[in-house]
Amino acid sequence: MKYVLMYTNRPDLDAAVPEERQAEVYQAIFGWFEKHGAVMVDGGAELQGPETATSVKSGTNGGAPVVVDGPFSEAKENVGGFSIIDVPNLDAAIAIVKEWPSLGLPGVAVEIRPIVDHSGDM
Amino acid sequence: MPSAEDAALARIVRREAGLIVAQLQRRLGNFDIAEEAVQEAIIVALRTWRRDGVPANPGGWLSLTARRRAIDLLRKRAREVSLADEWDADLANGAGATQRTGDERLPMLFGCCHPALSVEARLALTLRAVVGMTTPQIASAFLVPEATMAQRLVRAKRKITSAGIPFAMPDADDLAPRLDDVLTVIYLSYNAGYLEPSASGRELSEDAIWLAELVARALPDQPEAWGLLALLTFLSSRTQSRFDDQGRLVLLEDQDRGRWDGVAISRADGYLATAAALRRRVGSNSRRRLPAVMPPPPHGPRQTGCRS
Repeated sequence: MKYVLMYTNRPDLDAAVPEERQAEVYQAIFGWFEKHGAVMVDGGAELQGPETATSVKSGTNGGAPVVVDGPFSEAKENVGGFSIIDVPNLDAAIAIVKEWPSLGLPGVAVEIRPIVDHSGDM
Repeated sequence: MPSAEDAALARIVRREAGLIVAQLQRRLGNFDIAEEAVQEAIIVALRTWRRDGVPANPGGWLSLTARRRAIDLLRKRAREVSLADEWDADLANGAGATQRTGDERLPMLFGCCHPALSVEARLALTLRAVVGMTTPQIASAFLVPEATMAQRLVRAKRKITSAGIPFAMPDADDLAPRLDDVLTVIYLSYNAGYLEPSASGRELSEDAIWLAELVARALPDQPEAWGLLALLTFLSSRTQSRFDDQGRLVLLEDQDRGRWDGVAISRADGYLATAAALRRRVGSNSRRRLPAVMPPPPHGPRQTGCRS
């Protein structure tokens, strides 16, 4: 089964993490991708920070879409990156994600979302 | 008003149901169909057994009925026609009597209690698939409308399929937290029946104890499982004294100790000893709750955390 992993973090909490610790985690992430390379359908991407985001939103009353500064959601949580994995079931995905190095930092969450299977569509 | 016979009937059905769901789920690889098929078989069983009496082999009867139902359900989904035909042929040859392996229910139980499901979903699924309660019975136990409970079950089963939640025992390093999830569901089930003075409340609590025992015997080296079984058995030893004639709750210190079930208490002592022997300290949850429910010393009630 294919799942998208969305790596999220809390930039406001990240600020309190010392630089060496951040560098340590960053390094460990490379190791994590290497270790789980076999299940990576697509290693995905690391995203630049939320301050670089631009969103296009539905216009009011069915009007033209609106371009705004910032991520799609006002929430404190930020999507930092994503990958696509292919594993037998959810437990396999969870086992891999539990090892995500950033989980050692506060306010980190990784979402596991199954992909819609369009293979049956005509 | 359900009779004592109805209750006995329901109990027989419930004991068999979980096994059949587990077997069907394994063979079909489809929990939704397995679970629906058994639900329908249960409803038919309750109706016809009430009229014609319980068959000599209730498990076999239920299993056959459920398998027929599963074939019908499979046929409705065009893709599964060949599987349905294969099964039909099997049935005609009289293949596969119900096999008694209590184990088979355990992977399904762990699946129903998966952390990826909401606690409400876990409760509903466990009571339906493993214990064999009907949707109206579960709805009534948790004081929600039947439609709400039905929706909850539909959503839960959908999540199982879409997210790929497996019906399998967790790995050794995952067992402790996953077992904790299972034991929590069992405790919550017991609790739902605990304060209900009616027969259906007692049945729910009995089913919870039955489930706790199933888990403890299937995982005999897990002190938490024995600890929960001890706890529930201690609580159940006071069922006869917990409510007065008007159905009002009687506090622990006011209970008639003569109505406590001494046999249950010694059984519970045994379970507790087993748990303690497996571990120097009994598991955190059990240890927290046990002092509150242990019977007070004979010379008078001591201050306990538990009101009844």
